[in-house]
Amino acid sequence: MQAQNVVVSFKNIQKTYGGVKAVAAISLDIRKGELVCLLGPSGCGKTTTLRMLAGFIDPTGGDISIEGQDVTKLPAYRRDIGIVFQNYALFPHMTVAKNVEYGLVNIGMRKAERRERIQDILRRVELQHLSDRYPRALSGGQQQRVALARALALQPKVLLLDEPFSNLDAQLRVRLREDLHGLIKSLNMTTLFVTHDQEEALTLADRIVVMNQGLVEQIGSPEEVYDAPASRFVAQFIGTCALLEGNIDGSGLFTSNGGLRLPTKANPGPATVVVRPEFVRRADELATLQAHHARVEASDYHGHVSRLQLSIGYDQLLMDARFPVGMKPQRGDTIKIAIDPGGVRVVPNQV
Amino acid sequence: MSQTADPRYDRINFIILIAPAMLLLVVFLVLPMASVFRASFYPGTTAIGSSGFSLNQYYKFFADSFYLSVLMETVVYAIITSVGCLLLGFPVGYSLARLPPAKRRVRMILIIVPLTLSLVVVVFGWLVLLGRQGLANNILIGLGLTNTPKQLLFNRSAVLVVLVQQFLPFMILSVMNVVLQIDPVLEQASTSLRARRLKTFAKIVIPLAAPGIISGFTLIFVMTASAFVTPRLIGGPRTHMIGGLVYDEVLITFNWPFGAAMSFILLAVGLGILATVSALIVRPLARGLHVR
Repeated sequence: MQAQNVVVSFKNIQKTYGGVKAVAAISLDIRKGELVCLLGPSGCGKTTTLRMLAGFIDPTGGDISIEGQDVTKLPAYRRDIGIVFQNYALFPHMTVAKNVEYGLVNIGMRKAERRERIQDILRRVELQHLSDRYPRALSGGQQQRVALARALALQPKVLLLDEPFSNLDAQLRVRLREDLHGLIKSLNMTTLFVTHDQEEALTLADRIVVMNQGLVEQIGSPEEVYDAPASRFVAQFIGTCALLEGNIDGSGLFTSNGGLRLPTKANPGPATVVVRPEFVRRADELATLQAHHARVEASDYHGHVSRLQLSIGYDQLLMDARFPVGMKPQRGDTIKIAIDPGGVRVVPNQV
Repeated sequence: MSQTADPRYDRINFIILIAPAMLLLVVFLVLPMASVFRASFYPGTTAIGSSGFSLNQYYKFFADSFYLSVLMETVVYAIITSVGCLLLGFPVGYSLARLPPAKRRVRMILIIVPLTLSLVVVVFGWLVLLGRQGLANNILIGLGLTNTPKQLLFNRSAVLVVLVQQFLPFMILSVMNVVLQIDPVLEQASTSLRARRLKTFAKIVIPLAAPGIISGFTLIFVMTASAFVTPRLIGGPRTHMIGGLVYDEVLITFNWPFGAAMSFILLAVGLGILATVSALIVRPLARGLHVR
C-alpha cells in the first residue's frame, strides 16, 4: 500500500529473544487519523511491537517508517511519537503543568508559547483546574488524562497507548474510553493502541490487528474480525462462539462431524464453522427455518440474556436468548432451536 | 496497624516496643555523652576529682591556630571524601539498581565484602600496596616511570584515596536503594518526551535519587570527620585530623576535659556544615540539574 496518507509503516518487522520469536514478521500500514488496535493475549507480541515503534526495543529485522522516513535506527527521542504508558509514568516530582511542559522545554519552545500550549491541552482534557497538583494527589482517571495531555502537547505524528485502561475500574473505563475516543478523533490523531481487552478494541478501533504467538492472525475492521474471523483463534478470542468441525458438500451443505446440517455458501471440502450464541434462536422466532431439538447442558443468567450450553447430538452450541418469566429452560430440558444462517461463518482450515 | 479501637493501647504498645532500645541508648549513649559534655567544662587537665565550670578548654582550642587548622583540614577531608564517593559511587549504585535481581545480588556481595573486613586489616593492606617495596612502586619502576621508589604513603592524597575506598560502599548502597524505587518507565517516558540520555538523568533520575544522595553524603561526611585509624596509619605523623587528636588527649595524655571539648566542637561544626550543605543542595537537586 503506497497511499499518500500512510503515517506509520511496519515492513516485515521481527523480534527474536535468544532464538524465541516474540514478533514474527509483522507488516502493517497505519493511515493518517486512523486508530489501530493491537489485540491479543499476553505474550502475543503486541507490546513488543508497540515498543519497537516507540524506539525502546530494536527490531531483529525489518523496517519501520513514520511519514516515509525510516526510523528503524533512530533513538526514541528523535521519533515524533507520544506515549501513554500502562501506569501513566507521570513524573512524581513535577506538577501536572510541569509534566506537560517537560517535552515542550526539551524541544526548545519559548516560554509564552509553552504556557499557551499547556493551557490549551489541559483545557481539552478538562484538567486546567488541577495544573498545580502533583500526580500523587490525582485519581487514576485524572492521571491518565495528564499522561495523555503530556503526550499530545508535543503534537506527535503518532500516539501510542499501552493498555491505558487496565488500571481503572470498570465504570470509569467505559467513560474514559469514550472521552479518549472523542479527543483522538477531534485531533485526527494517528493512534496505535495495545490491549488484551476485546471489548475495548471493538468499541475504539477503526482497525484491529489480532495477534497470537508473535503472528498476525487477522487485520480488519471490528465488524470484519467479529463477523468474519479469519481463524479459529480470532473466532474464539473475540466474542464467544461454538466451533463445529465438518465437511461441506457440493450442494453447499455443511455437515458437522456430530451430524448437524447447516446451509452455507462456502466452497466444498473440510471446514470449521463458527456459530455465535446470538444467532442461535428459539425455533418460534425463526419459524421458517429448520428446527433442531437441543438438550440444555447448563444455563447462566446474564441479566439481559441467559446463556445456554446446548448439545445437539454430538455437537455443542452456545445460545443467548431471553425467555418469558418462568419459562427459562433448566438443565436437562429439551428445547427447539433454529440457527440463523447469517451467523454461520466458515473459518479457513489452517495447517 | 492496631485493630483496637482504643488509641491508648496503641500508645502503650508503642512504648513497650521501643523501650528496650531506648533504655540501651539512654544508658550507654545519652548518659556518657552528657558526662563527656560536662567534662568539657572542667577547668583543669583532668576529669578525675574535678569540679567547677569554665570555658578554658574551648578557649584553648580556638586560641590555637594549630587546632583551628586541624579542624579546617578535617572538614575539607570530609567534604572531598563525600564528594569523591558520590562521583564514583553514583554510577555504580545506579547501574546495580537497573540490573536483574539475580545479577545484582552477586555484585552486591562483592561490594559488601570489604565492609566485613576489619578496618585495621584494610589499612595494612594499603600500607603493603603503597609501601616503598609495595606493588604500586614495583609497577611504576617496572614501567620505567621512575627509577627510585616514590613516597606514596604519608600524604593527603593517600589518606583521601583510602578514605574513599573505605566509604564508597555506603554511597553505592544508598544510591542503589533509592534508584530501585524509581520506575524505569519514567526514563522511557522522558525519552519519549524528546529528552536525551543526559537530560533524563539530570531532570528525572537525579531529582528522584536526591534523598539517597543526601543520606549517603551525610553518612560519609560524618564517618570521615570522625575517622582516626586511616589518617593516623596512612597519613603518618604529620597528617592530623580531629579524631586523632581526641584519641591522643583521651588515651595518651589523659586530658579528658580537652578531648571532650574537641569532640563537641567537631560535632557542632559537622552538624552545622551538614545543615548548610543540605540546605544548599537539597532543593537544587530535587529541582534537577541544569543541562542544555
